[in-house]
Amino acid sequence: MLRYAIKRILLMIPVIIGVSFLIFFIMDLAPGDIVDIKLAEEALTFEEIEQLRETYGLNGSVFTRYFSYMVNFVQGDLGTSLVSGRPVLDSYLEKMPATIVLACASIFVSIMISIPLGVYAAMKRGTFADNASMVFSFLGLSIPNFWLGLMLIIVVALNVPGIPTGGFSKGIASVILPAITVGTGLTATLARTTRSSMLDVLSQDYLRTERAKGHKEIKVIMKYALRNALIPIITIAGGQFAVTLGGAVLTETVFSWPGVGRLIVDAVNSRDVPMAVGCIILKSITIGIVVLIVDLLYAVIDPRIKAQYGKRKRKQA
Amino acid sequence: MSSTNQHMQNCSTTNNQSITGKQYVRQSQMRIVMHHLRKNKGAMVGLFIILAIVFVAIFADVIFDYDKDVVGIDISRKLLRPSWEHPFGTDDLGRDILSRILYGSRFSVSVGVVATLIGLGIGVIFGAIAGYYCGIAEDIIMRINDVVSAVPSILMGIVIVSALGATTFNLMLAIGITSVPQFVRITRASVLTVRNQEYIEALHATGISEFRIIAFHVLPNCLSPIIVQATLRIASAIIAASSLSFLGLGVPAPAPEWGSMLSLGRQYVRTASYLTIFPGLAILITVLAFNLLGDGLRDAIDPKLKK
Repeated sequence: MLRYAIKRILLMIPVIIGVSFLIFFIMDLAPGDIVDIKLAEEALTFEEIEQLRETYGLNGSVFTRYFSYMVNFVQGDLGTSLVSGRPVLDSYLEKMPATIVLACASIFVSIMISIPLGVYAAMKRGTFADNASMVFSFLGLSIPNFWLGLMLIIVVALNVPGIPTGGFSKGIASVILPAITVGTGLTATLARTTRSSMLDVLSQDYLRTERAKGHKEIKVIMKYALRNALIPIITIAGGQFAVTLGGAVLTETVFSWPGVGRLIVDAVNSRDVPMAVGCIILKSITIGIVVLIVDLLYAVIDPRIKAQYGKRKRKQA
Repeated sequence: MSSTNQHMQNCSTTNNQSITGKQYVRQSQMRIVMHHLRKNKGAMVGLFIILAIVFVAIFADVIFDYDKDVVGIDISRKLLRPSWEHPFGTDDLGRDILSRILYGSRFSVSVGVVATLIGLGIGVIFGAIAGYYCGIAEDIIMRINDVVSAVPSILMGIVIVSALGATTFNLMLAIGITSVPQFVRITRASVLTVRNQEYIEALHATGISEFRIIAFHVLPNCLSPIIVQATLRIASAIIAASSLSFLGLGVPAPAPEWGSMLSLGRQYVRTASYLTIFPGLAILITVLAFNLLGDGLRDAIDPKLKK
């Protein structure tokens, strides 16, 4: 399993190089740079402009600049923000707690709603309850989450005291609406996956055997059916968690959430190339690592997969 | 050549002969899919809504006077609540929200459709090359695909639009590019299943060019999953377009794009919530319609997936 993990981490390297070059190159296409933005704010002499361009490392071709950026990146230096002057890594890490809280809360909301909903829909296949739960999940898929966030502000935050309309200053109360906003979109996909996966499992013979042994239905479903249906569910939930951990750009904007998503949007808008490229690379790495952890979790859930890792090891020996 | 085509046509049709042998009903794949689709109420509702939206989008110029009804400023009627005269109210510049939403369908639907077509065009070409030729071409295309899909699509959209400038075409291009990886993967997977079939081998033996084989004989047999993906992708492209417009990176003002209307409504969320409610509902209904149709098409094309 360790070899597999190392192989996956090594495979991430070319992807990260590709992502960094792609973002670096696209941002280079933008007309104007940070010096032009400063020039619009204050009058600068030609010498001052040249000095600034030199300081920010904006002279030279895109390839030269990219190469020197990557040399520093390999040494753990992601550069400093052209706007705030702070190291990119520090700014990213400073915003991470808020993003982690939102990601955990939204995946919690999503799992708490979608798994019972999907299991119930599968058990009552073809009934009104099944159709209603799937309509709900369809609506969840189709609602733009930034609009849902605004609706929650109108309906809940403006009417219920103690629930703020934005920010991260009021503890758990601040997380409720952003978590529901992000979680609803995730719930839709996860409920459909759970239903589909449970339908596959519910038709298996071994469940009939368990029922014949006299186990209660709830035990059959929760202990024997759901556990075997978990792999696709965890794949989807893990992927969603990874993406949310990279920053829910729109939800963070709607709720003025001080997370990574807003940091990236602000960096792109202000042509802060080191900040934008650095954050997107870190985001891609975060997503890659979470997806890898999810893959490794399969072995914990399903002993057959664990056995496969063991088999490969024995073969190699 | 013609005999090969005839053979293929026979392969893709189901021939039903009655017991008496007198009636000979030939059902094409398209007819079977349409039959399944017609039985799916959700898909039919989705199709009806889409047709209505497309009708409004096409005839928006006939129904409304763009300069007067859609972008014309009249401060004397600013921020009016919904009434008989203005069923959805008016915005901060006195513009009628209903007119702007109906006219806005032209922007949102066209951005969704054109962006999907851009993604589909690029994705199908590269997916077909990767699937048909395999080897080094496949490796290069799929690694580039991995790189593009490693960046979350909304971020990629933000980066592209902010680099190229916030115009309608750049918005379409950005959303189109973010959807390329999905089309590459689906096309490649479909082409891989078709390329080793006997009729392709037969076509090779006839000596026709590989371009013709891919374009006229491989791709037409890979269309089903691509069509389903495209329909579902239009829905997500509409959401992506409104998301970027919401962030100020979409269709420039004063065009009535639904996302930018929502962005404006956000400033008045406490005092004039209707500015936020109605454009969002328009997005929700349109996206829901495309999702319903896409889901219905998937079930119709492959009933095994209907769970």
